[in-house]
Parts: sequence; structure tokens; C-alpha cells
Amino acid sequence: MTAMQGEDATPFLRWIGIVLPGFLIWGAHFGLVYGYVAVACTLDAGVGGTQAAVALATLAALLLIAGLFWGFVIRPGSRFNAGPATRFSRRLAWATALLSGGSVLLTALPALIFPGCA
Amino acid sequence: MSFPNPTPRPEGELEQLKRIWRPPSGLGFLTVVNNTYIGLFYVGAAVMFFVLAGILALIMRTQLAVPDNDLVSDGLYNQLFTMHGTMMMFLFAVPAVEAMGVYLLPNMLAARDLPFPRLSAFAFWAYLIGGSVFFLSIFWGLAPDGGWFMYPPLTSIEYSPADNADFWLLGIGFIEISAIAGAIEIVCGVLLTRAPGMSLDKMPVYAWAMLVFAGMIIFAFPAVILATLLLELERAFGWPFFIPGQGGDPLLWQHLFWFFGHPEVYIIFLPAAGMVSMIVPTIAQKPLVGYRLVVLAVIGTGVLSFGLWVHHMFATGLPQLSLSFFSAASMAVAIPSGIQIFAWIATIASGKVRLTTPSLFILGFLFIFTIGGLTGVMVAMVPFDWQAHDTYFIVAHLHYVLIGGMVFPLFAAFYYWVPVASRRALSEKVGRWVFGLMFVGVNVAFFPMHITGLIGMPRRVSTYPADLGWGDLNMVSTIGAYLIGAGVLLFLIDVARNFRITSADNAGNVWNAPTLEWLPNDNYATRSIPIVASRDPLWDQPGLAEDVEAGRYYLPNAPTGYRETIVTSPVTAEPRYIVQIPGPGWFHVLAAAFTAACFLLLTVKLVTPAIICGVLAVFFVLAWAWQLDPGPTHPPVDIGGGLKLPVYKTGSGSHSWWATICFLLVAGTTFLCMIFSYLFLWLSNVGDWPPAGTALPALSWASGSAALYLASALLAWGASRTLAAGRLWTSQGLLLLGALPALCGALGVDGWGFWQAGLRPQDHAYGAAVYTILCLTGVFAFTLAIFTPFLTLRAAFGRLDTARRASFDVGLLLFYYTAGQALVGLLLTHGFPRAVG
Ligand code: HEM
Ligand SMILES: [Cu+2]
Repeated sequence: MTAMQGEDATPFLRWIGIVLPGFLIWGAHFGLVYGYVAVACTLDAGVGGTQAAVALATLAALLLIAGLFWGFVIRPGSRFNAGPATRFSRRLAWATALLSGGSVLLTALPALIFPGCA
Repeated sequence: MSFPNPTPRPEGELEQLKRIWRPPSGLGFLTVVNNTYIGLFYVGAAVMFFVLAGILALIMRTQLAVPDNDLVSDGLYNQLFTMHGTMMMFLFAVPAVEAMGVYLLPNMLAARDLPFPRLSAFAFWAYLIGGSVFFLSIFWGLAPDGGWFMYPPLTSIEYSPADNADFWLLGIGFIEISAIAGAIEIVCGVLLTRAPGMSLDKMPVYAWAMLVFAGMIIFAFPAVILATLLLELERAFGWPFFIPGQGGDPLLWQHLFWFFGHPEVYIIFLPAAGMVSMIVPTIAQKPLVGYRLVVLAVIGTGVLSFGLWVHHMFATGLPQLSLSFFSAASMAVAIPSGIQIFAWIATIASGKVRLTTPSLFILGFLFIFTIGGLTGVMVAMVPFDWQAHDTYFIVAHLHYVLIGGMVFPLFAAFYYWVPVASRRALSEKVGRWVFGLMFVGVNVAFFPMHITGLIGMPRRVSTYPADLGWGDLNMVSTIGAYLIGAGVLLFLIDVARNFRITSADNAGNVWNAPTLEWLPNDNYATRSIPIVASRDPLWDQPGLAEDVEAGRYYLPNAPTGYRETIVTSPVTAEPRYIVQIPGPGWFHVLAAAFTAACFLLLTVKLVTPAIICGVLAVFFVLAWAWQLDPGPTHPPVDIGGGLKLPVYKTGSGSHSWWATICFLLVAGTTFLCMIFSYLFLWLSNVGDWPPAGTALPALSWASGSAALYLASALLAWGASRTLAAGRLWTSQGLLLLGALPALCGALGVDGWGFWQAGLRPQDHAYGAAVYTILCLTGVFAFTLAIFTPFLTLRAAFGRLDTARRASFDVGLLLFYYTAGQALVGLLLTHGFPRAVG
């Protein structure tokens, strides 16, 4: 075993960057949708437009998650597949993708089904 | 198998290790920093606050036992439940799990100590002193009485003119700072000081849980710190953040508070669940089922819990649509919790469980927590919440979740891990009684409250009339509360009889557990630092304990003559360098004492003594920092197996770099919350932002100040380059005479621009928000105004040069961050109103 004296924080940051984006996208989607609705309701924008915007944001979030995971995890020859501790990170990445995709849907569905500002 | 180091070890090596790591004796013992002592004190203090808050609960239950009771006055009752709730949440729950982490993590990761032992000691002292004074305030009638979440306008100066609310605000703000210090320590400890070979996929679930826990503290606590800051600014200086007549909005408090408050529940739950994930495999004598899924669940819980934010405000009239998002997100977090519960049950089912005391507490936890979860789903349904809101149903739900989710796992952990810290294990016989009393007690006390709630008894009332028929159920609850009290008392007796603190001759691996904290240890932790090849090393690596104890693994000695441990890489845990760890000292103790004194004196508005204490606190922090950053004092050392490691490391990836980054994440989150507050206040003042009659300063003010901020960052960068090139004094000149004045000047221009335009913080929430944004940058400018000369002083005394620059790098990061934050602030305060107006 040789000491990795030159190692800085990048491998870890890359690791985080692969495992967490699903959640980050969910967070952004959540914040965007909520913020958008709060603003739209305050400013009395139309309900139909709100719904369309929510649907659009959701679609974008799901596509983004799928795209990222294809690029990083599934695509043969992705840089990620060469690193250490890979199998574990790979599975974790898969699972975060599924969980965050599900969460995005779960956040969006009620907004699409029960529209309107109280 | 060949080991890194040959045996027998040379004469005198063990004695040297012992001597270096020995805690000081006599009065000097107060300066101890070893995690095995600080961790225990910390746990002890948390248990003390648990008992005190429990006594307050018993007084409340005694008052409520019969109708029309007048044992406790209305006002005192308000103080009692506020203090009970606040102490349980802030002085017991979070510190208790953090304390367990400080004690357990280094042992579990086979590090000799945490990387910043004085920081955890500081966090402990600050917590103990601050918490005690906070508790004592109830005896002077100064205790806060606004409920543990302190909603304004109830807590604004108009309705709470006395000092009580200030006590809550400053006391809590202060305790949070100690929690954040501990969290930074934990992140660095888990990422950097794991045993060689313990890559992330072999890390104990508890370490994962603590890593996520600490991350959540870093992202959640800033919200409540900002909230307390805003409310205190309003109370002390009349900056109207929450006063509707002046553009403020009380809902802002609720958003900020619950942005922290909801994760708080999981902040408490995750470490407890992490403990359960360690105990369950041992009691089943089988590896944890679904390790990967559990890790994923831990990370997922951490992230998703932030989304639950607004569900506590179902009853406050948010737009219906937004509410439905949050209710959906509440459901989402149930999934990861469920995954963990299934993993535990599957593990238990795969082995043969002996009903020891820890197992009983685990089973009790599963039962109580599940009931709490079910009633939680009921509470999360929006219409149901309308009815149950503010009744005893909520009190019942909250205690089932908190006691089930946190107190029971904690007691399981006490009984389970005491043999690591004590010469004798606790008594199994007594333990069963403790469990029985607590389990029966909790159900007898809190189950009936579901019913009292549903038949309409509101929470937070000091008494109720007899003719409502609530008397019998309340009497039952009170009896249950006393049963819990008896259980806790019995536990304390057990501890007094059997707990004998030791490090050298502990009771040993009595449960046949698989993880590293059960290796033979002493003040220096393990004799040598093992190479880990499995998730359950003590089960899968036969002879490990013996080989570690014989010194066959890494670093069986103290080659530099100081306290030291191995820093490994965050993902794969390969050894990178040796870090020299500071030993005992007075400065961090004094810094904690004066910080606490400063905050508490401010609370009672003794401004001059408070300032004196503040100055002293800063002085002692600097004195403490003076001793840090030892520099490359020693050539690379051989830790065994031909591995030569450097003794000093700077730059990205070093432990001080990680700690600074964590701190900047805290700062950045605080600032983000402030941006949120600004935008939120705008939403309540659409079309009137800035309010009529207020002018924005001309854009030239913004561009001038932006140019200066940029200049300060560039000059700091230049200072770093020149330092790297070996021109120490040019570098110091650039920093002290260039970057610092540019930063202060920029802030001055920025602030003066608004002031000369006639904006005043007291007039309207708009002005208050703008000046708070400026103040948040001001805090950093102030810090750097102290820190930069401090660096120059270090340079003058030969403590800073091209090689020895860890402290310089901290300053550099601060300069970059401050400039970045200020530029975002400029964009917001100048750009946003122009964009929307
Ligand atoms: C050990 C037994 C305990 C008993 C007998 C007990 C009893 C009580 C009582 C009587 C109240 C006041 C209810 C009201 O008037 O509205 C209360 C409130 C509360 N308790 Fe406990 N409690 C216990 C443990 C805990 C624990 C372990 C925690 C947290 C970790 C906790 C957190 C709270 C909170 C947050 C409140 C709400 C305070 C407020 O309304 O502002 N309690 N408890
Ligand atoms: Cu909640």
C-alpha cells in the first residue's frame, strides 16, 4: 500500500457528486415548485398556468436525474466506473436515483391533482 | 499473514504512549481533552439535564393529576412547559447524541482521538455552563414562557416585555453554536480519521448516521440561529421583522424555525437509529441485513427531512397547494425510516436473540416508535391536523416519537456500551426493572393522552374544570409519569453502583460485538491501529484484538513524541499523513467560560461586563489558535510496513481545510436563510418594496463597493501566491494593508450608500432586512479584522511561513468567502428591487 500523499479532497467530492445529485435535484424541484406556487398564489396568477409549470418542472427534474445517472453510472466507460469502492457507490447511486425520482413524483402529484390556492 | 510491525515491541514504547496520552490530574483535570473523558462528561451533563427537565415534567403532571388544582400558577406552568420542552430538545436530545458520538466515534474508527479534541472540549464546556445558567433562570422567575418554539408575536417585545424571551433566544443561540462546533468535529473525525482499510462501504452504520447527523446540524441549525438573531434584533433594537404593521411577518419565524425544527426530529432520530443498527447485529450475533439499503436510508432521511419543513404549520393558513407538497414530502420520509425498521427486524429474525437489557430497550423502541409513527401519519393528514392541532393528541404523538425514537435507543446504548467505559457492566437484573418501569410508564402516561386529546383537552393549560370529565385519564397519565421517573431513578442507582470509569481495564467485549470500539484500549485508544478488511472486523478477522494489542499493526508508538493519529483518505481510507493532536490546555476552557458569560450577561442587558467577557473570550480563542498549526516539526515517520507518512499537511484535503469548509457551509447556509427571509418579506409586501418614500441608493454605490470586494479577494489571492513564492512579508503586506482595508472599505461604501439614501432599519422590515444582510458580511469583516493582524503576529514570531501556512489558508478561505457572500448580497439588495419594481 502506498500513501496517497498528493490526494486532496477531489475524490470524495466526486463521490458525493455522484451519489447525491438525485437528492439535490429533488431539493431544487421542491423549492422551485413551492416557491413558484407561493409567488403565483400571492400574485394571483392563473391556476392552469401554475399546473403546467409544475408539470414542466417535474418533467425536467426527472429527465435530469435520468440523464445524470445514465452519464455517470450506466454509460460504459464513464470515469466513475474506474474508481475505488465502486460497486458500493454504484449501487448507492442507483438507489438514490430511484428514491429521488420517486420523491420528485410524490412531491408533484398532489400539486397536479389538487390545484388552486386556498 | 504478515503484519506491518514486528513484535516484540521495543522496551519503553508503551510507557511513552501512556505518558503522552495521560490526562492531567488535580485541578488540571478540567483541561482534559481526551475524547474518552470529554465524551463521558458530555453524556453525563446531558443525562443531568434530562433528569432536571424530567423533574419539571413531573411537577406539571402533579399539577394536572386532579381538576382545578392550584399547586402551580398559570404563569409558572407556562414557564414549566417551555423550559421542559426547550431543555429536552436543546439541552438533552441533541447534546446527548452528539456526546455519544464524541465518546464512541474515535473508538469505533480506531482513531486515537478526534482531530480537534479541544474543539469538542470547548463545545462541552460552553454547553455545560450555558445550559446550567439557562436552567437556573427558572428560579429567578426569568425563565422563558413562550412555548418551546417561541412564536412571535407572542414573543415580541409588545407581548413579552420582560427578559424571559431574551433568555431563550440567547441561551439557545449559544447552545446551538456549541452543537455546530461538535458537528464540525464529527464530520472531520468520520471523514479523515478512520482506520486504514475502512473504506466508506466498510464504515459502521453508526458512523454513517453521525456523519449525516452532523451534516444536518450544519444545514439546519443556521436557520434557527438566524431566526433567534432576527427576533433578538427586533426585541433589542426595534428592527421590525415580525411586526405586520411595519412590513414584518410573524410567519417568517415559523418558516425559519421549522426549517430547523423538522430536521431536528430526524437529527435526534438518526444517531439513535445508528446506535440501534450497531446493537441489533450484536444481540442477534448476525451481520446487519441490508447494510447498503440502511446506509441509503440514513442519507435519504437526512436529505428528505428538510422537505418536511412546513407540515408543522398546517394550521396557519398557507396556500392549500403548497401544503399538499409538504404533506406528500412527509410521506416520502416514511420510506427510509421503514427500510431501517425492516432491516432491524430481518436481522433479529435471522439470529437468535437473547433478551438482555439492551435487546429489551430495542424491542421497546420498535413498539413505541411504531405507534408514534402511526399517529404521525394521522397528524400529517391535513384535515385531521386541524382537529388535533394543539390538543393532547399532539402531546401524546410527540412523546411517543421522541421517547420511542430517542430515549429508548439511548438507554439501550447506555446498557450496551457501558462495558467499554467502565470496569463493570451495569446490572442485568436491575436493567430489566429499569426497562419494565419505563416501558409500562411511557404507555400508561402517554397512551391516555391520545384520548384526552380527542375529547378536546387542549395542550398548554395549567388546569381544567372537573365537570369536563378529564380527571381520571389525567390521573392515569400522572401515575405513568411517576413510573417513568422511578425507572430513571433506578437507572441512576445502577450507574452509581456499577459504573467505574476506566480506560485500561474495562469490562471488555462482553456481548461478543464485531466492531472496533471493543478492542482492548487505554487512554491512547488502541495500542496499534488495525487494518480493517471487513464490516465486522472482530468477527471476520480472527486474532485481531490480540494482534492490535501486541502492537503488530500501524503506529504502535508515538514517533513524534506528541499525541498523534493517522489521517486517512475520505473514501478509501488509505493512510495519508500523521496529524499531531493538541493535548490538555486552559485556553479553550476559558474561551468557553467567557463566551458563555458574554452571552448570558447580554441577556440581562449588562452590556459593559458583557463586552469585557466578549473581549476576553476572543483573546482566549486567539491564544488557543496560537498554539495550533504546529508546522512540519518532524521528518516523515514510519508507521510500519514501510509506510512513511508526512507529519504535516496543508492545502485542500488537510483536516484544517475540511473544518474551515464545514464552517463556511454553516455561514453560507445562514446567509441563504437570510436571502430566503428577504424574499419572503418581499412576498408579504409585493408592490411596496422598497416601501413608498424609500429610495434605493444610486447604482454607483453598488458598483464601487463590488469593485472593492473583488479587489479584496484578488489581493488575498495575491498574498497566497507570494507566500507560496517565499515572499512572506510581501504576502503579509498584501493581506494586512491590501485585502483587509479593501474589504472594510467595501462594506463601508455598501452600508453608507443605503444610509445616505435615508434607509433606517427601524422603520420597516425592508430596511431591517437590508441592514441584516450587511451585518452578516460585517461579522466576517470584523473577524478578519482580528484574524489578519493575528496572522501577521504569527509571521513575526516565525509561526507562519511558506511551509507552515495552515492558519494562513484559513484566513484566505475566509477572505474569498466574505467577498463572495457580499457580492451576492449586493446583487440582491440592489438588483432585486430594481428587477421587480
Ligand atoms: C420522561 C417523561 C416525560 C414526561 C412525564 C413529559 C411530560 C410532558 C408534559 C406534561 C408536557 C406539557 C404538555 C402541555 O401542557 O402542553 C410536555 C411537553 C413537552 N415535552 Fe415532555 N415529558 C417527558 C419526556 C420528554 C422528552 C424525553 C422529550 C424530548 C426529547 C419531551 C419533549 C417535550 C416537548 C417538546 C414538549 C412541548 C413543550 C411546549 O409545549 O412548548 N418530553 N411533556
Ligand atoms: Cu414534523
